[in-house]
Amino acid sequence: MTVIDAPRPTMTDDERRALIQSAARATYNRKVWMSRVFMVFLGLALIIALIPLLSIIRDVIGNGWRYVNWTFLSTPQAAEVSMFNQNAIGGISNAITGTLLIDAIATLIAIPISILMAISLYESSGRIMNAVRMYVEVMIGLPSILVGIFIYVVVVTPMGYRFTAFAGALALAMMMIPLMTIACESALRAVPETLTEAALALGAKPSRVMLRVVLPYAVPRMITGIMLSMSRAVGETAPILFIIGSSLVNSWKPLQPATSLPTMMFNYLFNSNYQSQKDACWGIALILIFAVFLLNLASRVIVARTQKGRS
Amino acid sequence: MTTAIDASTNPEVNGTGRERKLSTGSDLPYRVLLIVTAVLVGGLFLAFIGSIVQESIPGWRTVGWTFFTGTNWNYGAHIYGALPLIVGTVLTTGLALLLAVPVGFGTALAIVFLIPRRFQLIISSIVELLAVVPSIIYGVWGYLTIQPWLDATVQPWLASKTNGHFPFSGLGIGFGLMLGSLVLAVMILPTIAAISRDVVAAVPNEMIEGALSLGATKSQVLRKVVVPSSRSGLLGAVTLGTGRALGETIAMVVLLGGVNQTHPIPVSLFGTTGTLASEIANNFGNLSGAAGLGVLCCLALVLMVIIGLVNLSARVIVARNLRKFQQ
Repeated sequence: MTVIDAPRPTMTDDERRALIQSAARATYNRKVWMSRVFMVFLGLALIIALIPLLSIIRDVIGNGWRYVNWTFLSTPQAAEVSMFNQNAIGGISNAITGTLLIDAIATLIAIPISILMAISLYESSGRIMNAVRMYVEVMIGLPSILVGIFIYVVVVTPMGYRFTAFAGALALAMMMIPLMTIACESALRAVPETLTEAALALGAKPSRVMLRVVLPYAVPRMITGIMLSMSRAVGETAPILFIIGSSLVNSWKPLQPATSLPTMMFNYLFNSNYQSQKDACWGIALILIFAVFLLNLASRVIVARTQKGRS
Repeated sequence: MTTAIDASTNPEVNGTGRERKLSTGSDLPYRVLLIVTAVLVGGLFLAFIGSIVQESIPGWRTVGWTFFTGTNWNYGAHIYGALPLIVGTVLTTGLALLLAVPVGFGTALAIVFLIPRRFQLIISSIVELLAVVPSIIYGVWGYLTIQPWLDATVQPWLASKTNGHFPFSGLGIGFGLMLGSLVLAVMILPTIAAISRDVVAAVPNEMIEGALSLGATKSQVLRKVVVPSSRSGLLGAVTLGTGRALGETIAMVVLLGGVNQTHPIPVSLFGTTGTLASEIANNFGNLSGAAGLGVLCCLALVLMVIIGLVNLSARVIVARNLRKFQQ
């Protein structure tokens, strides 16, 4: 600036132009250089983020793959592991059975409630329903261990301190309902207004519009939301850890104790004295991650398909 | 995952500005069904909070105000001072945020504005998938991979460089505050990065092109246009990460090592500690004492209040930002 304000009178025009140009170029270069430094920081952040994340994937696959065989998947865990047979830990079929049982019941409970709840949020407006919606959203963020305490108090205790797969299913359903409700509601809101208005203009009752127009259109997105909520619930440990007990055999009975993959991992990792059981956590982790990713990828495929069909 | 979170942070989906209201006079059963559902689900969640409050009453009778002032926590010996746990919760979450927020924002900006387009989809998919990895798996990774590394390599090195001074005093055993907050940071990083990515990717192109056409450099565009205009969304990402960190239970049980009885309130990054959530889980398996469950419900209630306050202040800040923006 000073260059322009007070040019030295002895300068020729060319000299002055060169001076201004060099000053401008210096400023420009400094800014470009600072910009580069900033971008380098961003790149560093990306690399710092990817190192631990890729390390988890590498460790889970690298240490877990040797557990993925039919014997490990199809035999239940060993009833007793002692110093002398540390490596005879059996398999995980009791936990796979338990996980399938608990998650199936939980999903069956959560789906109808969530869809109805989503419809009622969709169909009504006003202050009360906004409060209810905010409430549902807050529920998503509450720590899962609290749900465990709640089910322990209202289900396990009244049943005479009986630990059951059903209690675990109720806890997981309670974890799923807020997620599914919000996902299903946004699926309903994605239905074009023109469709519903056209149906209403033909004189259809709102319930009929919902059943025949809105729901069929929203189903793919709803399935996506339901699968994402399931993928969340499959790995939940804290809410079910103290209410499902444990079972050493493949038990399909809802009113009996059960073992699930996450609770088995927790017990092997935290309550076991044997390295063989701790190492087996990698195998269980690989199977759990596989299930979670499968649910996620399948839901992505569904979204991609429907979007392609409609555009 | 993103569906649910999109819905909760996107004001459009929250539908405050909904004009259409169906007339349901001729459709009574439908209307009744919906109202009954809403009442039942609302009631369920009220019962949820109510039952925890009710169960905590015997706990409050036993501990009184010493709950917030007592500086030692030893559930087995019926010493119920929750201050170490509150400090432990705030410390682990705070340290995790300190690590995860800058890296998460940087990652989000790098994915959208730095790396070539054909890698964007792959890297953001990796980040999004890692956001749904169950926390127990982060616990396993921390326990079996990071703990031995900290124990054998990192902590002895840090101790020798600082001569065992604060904050690296005491004996490093791997487990403790350092391991817990490190793994917690890795755990919330994908959540923060994935949501921030969506937020910064939604900044209108016109704004970016406008700034570029005025001669701004790329970093100026990011710092002065992209970040300020997506501030409330970024805050939402941080809030979600904070909530997840505060409530994280299983990984913290496994990694923190429980409250240290010589220094219940941690004085070193090497020290073992506990959080509100981890101590609930630690002791739930063997309830003891007259108000055993009650005291744990008190912890649950304190945790719920802390998370509620975090969410509420985030909402207030977002609302204030919106008002400023509209003026």
